[in-house]
Amino acid sequence: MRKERLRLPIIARFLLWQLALVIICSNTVQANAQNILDKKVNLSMDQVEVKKLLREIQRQTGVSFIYSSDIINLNKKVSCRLVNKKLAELFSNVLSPVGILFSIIDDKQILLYNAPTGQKKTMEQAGYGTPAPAIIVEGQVLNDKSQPIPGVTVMVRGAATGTVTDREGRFSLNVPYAEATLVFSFIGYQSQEVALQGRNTVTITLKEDAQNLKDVVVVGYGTQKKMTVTGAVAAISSKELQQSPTANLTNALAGRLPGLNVNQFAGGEPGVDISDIYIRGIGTYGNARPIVIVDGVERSLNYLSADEIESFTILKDASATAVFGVRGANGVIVITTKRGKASEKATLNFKISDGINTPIHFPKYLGSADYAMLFNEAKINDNPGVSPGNLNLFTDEQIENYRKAKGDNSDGLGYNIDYFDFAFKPGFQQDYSLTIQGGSNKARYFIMGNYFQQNGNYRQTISDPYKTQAIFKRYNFRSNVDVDITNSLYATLILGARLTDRNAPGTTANRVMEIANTQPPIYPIVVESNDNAANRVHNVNFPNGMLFGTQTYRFNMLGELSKTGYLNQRVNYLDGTFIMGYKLDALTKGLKFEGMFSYDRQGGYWVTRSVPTESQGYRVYPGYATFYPTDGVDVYMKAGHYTGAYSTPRRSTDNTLGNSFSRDDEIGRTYYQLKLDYLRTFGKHNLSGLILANRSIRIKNNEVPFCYQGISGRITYNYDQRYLAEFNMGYNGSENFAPGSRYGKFPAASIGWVISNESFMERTQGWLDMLKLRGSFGLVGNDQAGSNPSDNRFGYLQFYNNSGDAYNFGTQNNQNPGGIRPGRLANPILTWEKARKINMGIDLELLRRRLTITVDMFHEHRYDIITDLSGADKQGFPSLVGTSAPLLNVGIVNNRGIDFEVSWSDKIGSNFTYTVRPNFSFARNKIAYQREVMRSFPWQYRTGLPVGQPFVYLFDGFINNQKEADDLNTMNNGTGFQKWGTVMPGDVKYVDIDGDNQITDLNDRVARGYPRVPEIQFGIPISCRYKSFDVSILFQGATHTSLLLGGPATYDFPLYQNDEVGKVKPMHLQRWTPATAETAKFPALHYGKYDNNKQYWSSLFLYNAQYLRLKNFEAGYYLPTKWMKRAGLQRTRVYVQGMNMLTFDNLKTVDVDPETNDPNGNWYPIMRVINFGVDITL
Amino acid sequence: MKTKIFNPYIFIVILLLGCKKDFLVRKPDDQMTEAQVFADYEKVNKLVTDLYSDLHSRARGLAFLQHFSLSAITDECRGSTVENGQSRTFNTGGWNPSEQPGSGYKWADIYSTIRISNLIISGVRKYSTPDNPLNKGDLDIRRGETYFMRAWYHYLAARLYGEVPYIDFIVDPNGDLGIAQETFHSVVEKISADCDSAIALLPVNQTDPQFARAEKGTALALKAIVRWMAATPLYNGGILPNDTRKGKSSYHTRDNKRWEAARDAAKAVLDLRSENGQLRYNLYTGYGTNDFVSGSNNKVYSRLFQQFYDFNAFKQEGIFMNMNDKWEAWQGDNYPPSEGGGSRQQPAQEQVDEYEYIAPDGYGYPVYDARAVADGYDDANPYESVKRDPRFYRDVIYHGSSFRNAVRNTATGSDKIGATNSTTTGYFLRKFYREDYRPGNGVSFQIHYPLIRLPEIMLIYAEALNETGGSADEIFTMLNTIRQRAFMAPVPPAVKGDKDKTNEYIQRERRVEFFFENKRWFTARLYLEPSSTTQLTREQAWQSAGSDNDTRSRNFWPYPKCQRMVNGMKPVEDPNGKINIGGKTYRMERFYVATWVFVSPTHFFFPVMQDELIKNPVLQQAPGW
Repeated sequence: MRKERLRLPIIARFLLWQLALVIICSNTVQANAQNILDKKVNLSMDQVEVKKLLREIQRQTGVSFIYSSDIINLNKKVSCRLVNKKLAELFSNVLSPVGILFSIIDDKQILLYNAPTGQKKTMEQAGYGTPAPAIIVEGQVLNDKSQPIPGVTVMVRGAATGTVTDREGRFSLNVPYAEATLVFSFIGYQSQEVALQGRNTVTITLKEDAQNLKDVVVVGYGTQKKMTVTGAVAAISSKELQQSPTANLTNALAGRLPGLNVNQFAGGEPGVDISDIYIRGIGTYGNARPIVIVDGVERSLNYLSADEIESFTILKDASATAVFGVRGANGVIVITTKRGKASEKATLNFKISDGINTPIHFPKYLGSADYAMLFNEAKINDNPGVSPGNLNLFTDEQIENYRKAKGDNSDGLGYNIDYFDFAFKPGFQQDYSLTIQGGSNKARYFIMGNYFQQNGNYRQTISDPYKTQAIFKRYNFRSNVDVDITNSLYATLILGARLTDRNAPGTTANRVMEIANTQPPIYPIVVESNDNAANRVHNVNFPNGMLFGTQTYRFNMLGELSKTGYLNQRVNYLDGTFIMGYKLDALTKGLKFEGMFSYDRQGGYWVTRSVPTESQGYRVYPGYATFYPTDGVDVYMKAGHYTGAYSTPRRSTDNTLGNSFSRDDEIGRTYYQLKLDYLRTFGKHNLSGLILANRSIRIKNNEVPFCYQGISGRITYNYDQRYLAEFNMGYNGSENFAPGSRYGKFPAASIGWVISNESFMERTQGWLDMLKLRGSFGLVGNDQAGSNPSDNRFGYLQFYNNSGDAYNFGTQNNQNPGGIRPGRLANPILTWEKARKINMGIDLELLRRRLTITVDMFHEHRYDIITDLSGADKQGFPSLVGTSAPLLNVGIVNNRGIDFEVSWSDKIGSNFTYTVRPNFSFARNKIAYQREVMRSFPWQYRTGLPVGQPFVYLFDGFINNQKEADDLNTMNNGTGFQKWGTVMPGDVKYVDIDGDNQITDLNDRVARGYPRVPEIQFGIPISCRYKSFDVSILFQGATHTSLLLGGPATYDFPLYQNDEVGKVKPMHLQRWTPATAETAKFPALHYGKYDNNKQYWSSLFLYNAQYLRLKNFEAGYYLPTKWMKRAGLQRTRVYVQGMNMLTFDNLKTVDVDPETNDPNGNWYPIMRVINFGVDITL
Repeated sequence: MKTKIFNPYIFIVILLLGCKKDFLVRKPDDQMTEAQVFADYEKVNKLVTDLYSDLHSRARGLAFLQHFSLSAITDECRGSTVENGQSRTFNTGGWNPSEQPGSGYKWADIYSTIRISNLIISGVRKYSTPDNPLNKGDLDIRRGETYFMRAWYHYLAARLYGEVPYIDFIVDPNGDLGIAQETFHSVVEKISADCDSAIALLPVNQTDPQFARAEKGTALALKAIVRWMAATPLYNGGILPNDTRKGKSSYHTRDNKRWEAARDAAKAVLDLRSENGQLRYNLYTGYGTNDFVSGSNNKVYSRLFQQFYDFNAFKQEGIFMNMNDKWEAWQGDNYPPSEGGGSRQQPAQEQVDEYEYIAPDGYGYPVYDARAVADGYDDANPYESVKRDPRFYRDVIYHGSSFRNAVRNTATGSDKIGATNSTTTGYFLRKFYREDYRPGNGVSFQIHYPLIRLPEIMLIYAEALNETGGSADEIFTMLNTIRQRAFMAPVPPAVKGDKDKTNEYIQRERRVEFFFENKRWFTARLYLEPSSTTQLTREQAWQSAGSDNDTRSRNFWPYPKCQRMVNGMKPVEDPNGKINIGGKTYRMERFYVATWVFVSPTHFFFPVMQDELIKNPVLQQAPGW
């Protein structure tokens, strides 16, 4: 088939017309197309070939003809003489007589075909302006084992009709003309086109292809054929992302890609549950976050809907990222959104799902009886030499009472409160999505609307007129339109919008978790109402009960959940991109020029209608009233009902709702890009090239705009798809650096050898489908300094600023204006940090592509790391200088590792297919140089170790008796062996590493365990299908990761919030006592602060946080096609999904989730979701 | 194919031409260069303001250690466990060169402020900053303040660390960063020199709206204070055990000239006169013998309370102060639990015993004086059996005292000793409290904290006179003036001429007058009390006074000043008790509260932080650390 087109003189008309096409349903096109035959022609030709005639008509009218030169004899000579006549006359008078019939496709395309032999069709028979009579084609789609495949999409190429195969793989379709081409496509199989050539029954065998989505891979600023890629890239498709019922796309990524490190360290609170993402681990102690490119522009990927994503790709090595130059060192995430496809029938997909979410794990704490028993023990331990009578202890009787107590003191035996039970319940979530996509040869479109709602898990949210439940809503809109204006000129408009709307109680999730983790069970949540006259006014003001709270335990769980008001955060992301391109084939074949302009805005606001908290010194009090017994809270240490008056620590009425309004960071980006693309094949030589210039201006609030500009280029060459070579280059700069240090060159080269394409490999073709070796080497940069780069801007300039504080002089206490302060010292030659990356890869496809293996090994050498020397570990200025050292390019970090993916797809029997595709990522970094201070001993150096590896004191057993304690305390002239003050029996002893008879911070802490970000992450996706059933499972895990915990997570009676003291966990029952000295696992108990035992940097509380999760589970079923047909639907799938279903870990003792990332364990757990959905395609 | 309308090549060329060369040239336009700052008086003035605003973190009186007073790490008070129990970390020896509670007061903080003072001094010179066009002479005054502040911040450092480097230049980061400490006496000379530069430039009176800026007398007073420090045993004739200080040889021998220098420097302050010929500083004597704070059962004199709130007091006797040191909310924290407080600082029995009583003969004697019992002092009814120094009733809430019109009870209820958040010593803090404040009742005020008050200089003068054989009458005048102002009976005449007895009264006066004013931590050390033979012997005596701590504490007091324990008093129900609260009678009984750690010489100074020593190996760690 060949198509030829002529251009209308006015471009604008094309554009408008094409846009109209997108909007108008294809059926209505026919009506508008009637007048195509009314177009006027002027022809005066004698014995001219049909093809010349057609070309001339095309030139005059702009009408394109579609035909197959195999069928129509274009060399037939005709004559015509038409002066300002309608096109219709041409057909009836000139073409029809020679057996060429026509059918109108749309108002600028006409299909030509031959009159079937023996059927001389006239103009009248064909019908003036009506399409040719429909031809019904029937057939069956089979796999290569001759079993039918249901659900295969069958489309007519170039027409807007199509269908789907039924359970027997059969289909029946109206095709507009006998020579139509059918397109068969189905996920997991290679698409196939079949020309009917007049047949009206076909049987098709589809070839399976697990890799079909990867035939083309996304690379920086473009795409490449997978076969010839030499860089390290990995990608997944929308389908896998859709398996995770989560609001934030980042949470769907764990375990999906080799080389992608994903941890949901932020926890699971609705609307703030964004995962940390790194590519190949961490390569610098500076800013290690990769940049994210969505549709060609650096954008946030937060809250994109999985339904709008076509592909998610990570670029890992220098070859793939060099084009991003000064921004590419941490790797690049490239996301493309869905686009309509040419010749695709308009499909409408509607997806609806509902689910239940529950926090995955809550730690257990001991109840009141054990609390009281251990409390007494701790208090006595705390006060050696003080008679227990002077201490305020629980009586044995009361401890017994607690054991018998129901918990709510209705029996007068005391309280025993379980906070998690009180505060949490399952929540509901919904996800509705509507997508429409389709297109003709001229225009393609994808539009989507998506709504996601996640309701929170707080139980007590209804006691006030306003609702305080945590609710997160997400609205996604997308419209991607591609228009071919002419053969050469094309345009694309990408519009994406996300709006999030988060409602949350006026409290914070962290505070709710902290209350649950720390407040002693012996205190009530609501104080007992009693008839004491002194309380009458309070009883009237708080008929639903008075909340308990004291000067120490200031916050109340019920108060936090129901009386703190609410806040509403709305964030909007608007991304707009306009692309216009021109194919410069006229200049040289394969050359294309493209300009792109994009403007993004991200902003949001907070309406905080919360009850303001109040401060008194460092103490924060809630805005609601709380009460405690006037006789002191110690009344709860005894059985009985309190009958006295209540006092309030701060206020006796609730504060009124505050009403404040604030804005999120207002972020905008303007981006321009010009691109010249070249792709050409000369025999066995395949050449492509890219030159690109871009400029980006990012606005953040009132800061000086962040600017980048640069030029990138790429040349790829391969000979016969066997020998591959590629060269990438970025030349770009950042305003962060002084002139002279501003622009950098970032080159990268890579080569590949497809051994399997060599002639000498013919013998192996039976089992080896593909074998490719790859290697790359190059340089990339990073201009971001520190975790908050905008704080470290303009490190090359020295300024004074207005950051000083005010001071009040005079007896009238007049405020004097704020002082001026000198800023950070400048380093005029500050420049970006650089990464030299080497990558070696091998791609293998074996056993008729059932087994595919991709392995990449890498080594990254990061140097000139932008280093802030102000920390204690770095050799910066002594404090005597009075200011810290400027930022310097001094650090070196090496990062090496391996990532691989192995895929095995096969079938068992005739209907059961399955795929197992484990991936594995290992990355270990090592600080090679960071201008560390001189240390006395080699084990003290952070240099030589991974970034963030914990340094801990080593647990060396417990102090067994008083004599041992005394001996330790008298050491070092009486300052003791351990630096936290005097010790006593049952306390932890630490190893004196340097042998100076003293435990000191610098000398006796050694590196143990692993950094928090796991060195190894892996995923094991398994999917299988049986007839209309499909099941997918993802196991995901991490190892080589350590979790160092303190505070309420591990300490007995932890001190928190400066003066509140928490409770005890079951693990503390294994404490040291004189009787259990042999078997004790934990030190003797102490109340509140006790740094010797409750030591954060202790090997005792360093846990191995490795885990294996059943991350995702999905089971789906395609409803029978017969039912669907009756309902007028193409297909319908019902499914059930689960997320975070099971976790296996080593943290049973400490009883926290392995992804916990709060050092105190006050972490809102991630969600376990069970989700039910229906996916309907029209 | 050719087209007339769309020519992509022209388009490309236009776009490329559109690129400006200076696209990446951006500058933060909200910031200033050094030249811009020093070209303008007003900006230099703001820089000077910074030196004052740093007082808020470097010299916070009420909350030196975050929100704890330094008092809580001395024998004045015991701190509660709130806010990480910071004070208890010190008291139990849990501080060290790598971990030290609190922030803002340390070495690095102080030297960052000193750098700014150096930048101002050199910048004004380098850029010839013009004077204030509206008020000529202001620039010189600001320069004088800057010299003073440089001296002041070095004083703060020397107070904590003993020997420190004196940085009176801008340290060149490219130069030699190995800067060593100087001996204390050398630091004192440099502080004095900077004070002299300041004295030459500063006015006698900083009047509104500039009141509270350093003035001539402030610099004179700082000189007196550092001269006095240089004359005390720590630097003048005392022996610090295991001393490793650079200048130890100069400290180990007593040089009477140091006392003479202190005397003269103090005298210069006392003699300073305003332009009208009046003495610049006088003790505040507002309110009379019949004015009492309401709700105190006529126990707390209004004058003693107003002394810290009435601006006339600041004008008359405030030599240097930290304006807005703390706002009212600090108070609530220190309240007894019955008032919603957390008893953050609990006065210790050690301090309570220092308040003298007024004997029938009309003179003041300590309660541990031999004649006290004969004069009527009853240790089971210690607060009201005899009239104690009026400052006691202002400073301390005790069992049976009237606070806010309510009689306080530490025997039962929420204020009970040992109850959650309550006192552990039997006392609550009262000094500085404004009793009209209640948490959340909307009363708001600032507490301006006196950093140097006139009595401090008077006591230095009196002490220096005593040490140099000066006039005993003059010494008595100094002491009795201070006491008289506080409605306290004078020093008994028998003391006159007895150097040791006089010194005892001077030291006790300092302890009582400056309770909770951040002096005790330093003075205990300046006089080498914790390691003195006298105190160690007394500690031994305490040890052998019984078989358990409570008995020892009942039998042996006043307690040794070794900073190794804290004691309290608890009410015991007793039908014969003299204290009657809520229908019950009590007697008071001493008890042992806690053991503290004090090791000589380690705990005499703050340690230089470990990371500073690593970065600057020339520095020497304080003794014992």
